[in-house]
Amino acid sequence: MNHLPREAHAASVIEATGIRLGYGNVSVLHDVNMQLNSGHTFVILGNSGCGKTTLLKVLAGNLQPQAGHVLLQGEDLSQIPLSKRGIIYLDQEALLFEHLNVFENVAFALRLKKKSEAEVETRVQQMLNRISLSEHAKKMSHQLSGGQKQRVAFARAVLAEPKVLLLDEPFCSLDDRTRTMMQELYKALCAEFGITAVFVTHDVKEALLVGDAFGYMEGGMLHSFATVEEFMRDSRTGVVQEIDFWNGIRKK
Amino acid sequence: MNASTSQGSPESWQPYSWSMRIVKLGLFLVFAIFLLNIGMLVLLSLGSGWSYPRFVPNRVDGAPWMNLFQSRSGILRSSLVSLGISSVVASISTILGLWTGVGLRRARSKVWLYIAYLPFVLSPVTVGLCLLDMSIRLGLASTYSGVIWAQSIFAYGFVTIFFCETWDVQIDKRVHLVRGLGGNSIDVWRHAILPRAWPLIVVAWTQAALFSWLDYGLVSVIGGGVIPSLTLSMFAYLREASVNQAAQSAMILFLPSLISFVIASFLLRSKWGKEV
Repeated sequence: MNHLPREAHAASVIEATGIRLGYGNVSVLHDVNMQLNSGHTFVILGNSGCGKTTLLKVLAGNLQPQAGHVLLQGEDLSQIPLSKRGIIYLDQEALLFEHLNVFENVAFALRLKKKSEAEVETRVQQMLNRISLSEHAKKMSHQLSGGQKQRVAFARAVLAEPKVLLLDEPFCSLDDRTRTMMQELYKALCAEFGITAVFVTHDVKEALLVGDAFGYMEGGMLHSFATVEEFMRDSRTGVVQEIDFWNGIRKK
Repeated sequence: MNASTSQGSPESWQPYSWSMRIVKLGLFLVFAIFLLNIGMLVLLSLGSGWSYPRFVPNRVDGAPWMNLFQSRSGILRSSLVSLGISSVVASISTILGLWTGVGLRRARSKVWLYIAYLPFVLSPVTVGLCLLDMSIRLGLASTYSGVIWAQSIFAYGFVTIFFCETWDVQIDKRVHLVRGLGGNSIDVWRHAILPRAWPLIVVAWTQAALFSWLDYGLVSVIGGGVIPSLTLSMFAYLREASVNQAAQSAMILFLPSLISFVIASFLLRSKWGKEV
């Protein structure tokens, strides 16, 4: 696998070039290219089975592509050990450590980095206040609701200061109100901590709310849009249909 | 849904009820016969002297059990030997089997998994005969190491298949998460594998230990009759018509199985068991 010159990737945190992956005769990812700049959320919209999750797994390094390569800050991802990559994958199921309480779950990455007890205490308390869970610090994961679990999982990931956060439809199992709250919290924390993320969803509104850059995936191919307007105008993304629907309702 | 579909019509309910009663009666009879035999063993192990067709020994004084700890009894020594061997075999096969089973789960080819089934296609005695020549050449025949080696090969196959088939996807997800958060191999074991997989590890270890504890074929072929395991002692007592000692050995052999049964029941009723 060839290394591209480091200077060419100075701005991009993660870059995928010519990614191909298939199982047998079925092609799941077909020549996928993408580039993500620091502090941006790249939203990938697409229907079920279009290859969104597979792409995230390739970006996480959990799946090896048959062709193409992924560069993390200019370095070949496959050459970086898993624990040194700083890529965290979050999906709709909040994976909390059941043997640890909320505080220790959020503090997990700080403990791994051997931060001082005072720093852990301060930063975790601040984060728990930020996600409105300071009163639940001593609770175990089974005592939390789905939305609370997602907040803990997200807070834990943010405190780990990842290079890239990969989110696979993280809020799709939540009710509408909790979902809206989580989207707003996500947006606020991303701005606050300068998070670089790839956010996969099939919800148009969610895509527009959390995204800075946009892509649409269909049949294993990723189409990136230069601007949000271009994304909104493309009939495949469903934005036009969504706007027409609400206009139709208003006219009634 | 109406009542007849949700609860079954009287025509279909009646035969079901009768068949269930017959099954329950059959299970009760099997259980009763099993308990009667256990009772007979207990009686024989508690007494001294016995002759067919009597049910009760000549004297029921608990003498064999008192002698077990009072002197350097052969049964006590055999029990300790079997306990030591089975603990080592279970530990070796659980560690290797866990590592291999999880690895095989990710492998696309199933050939290695089929090879792990091989010891079960053959009986322990046949496996023992297959390994005998190699054990002589390696200087392992008639040694404790040889018995541990042979039993570990058999138990390793079981543990490999066990972990390959029962591994939880949730554990893999947590392994990736811990790695992503910056954890090393120790952190992965501490926070991703052990908290979720410990019941599986306990079950695999116990089952491997039980196999070794109850094994007769491998220990007699590879051990060459020199390694005084409890199963070997029990058969020796039977051959020399020491019925009370044989019953006592059988009772001791039975004890870990009973404890394992209780542990398994506890695990299945636990939060983990309900999730499974």
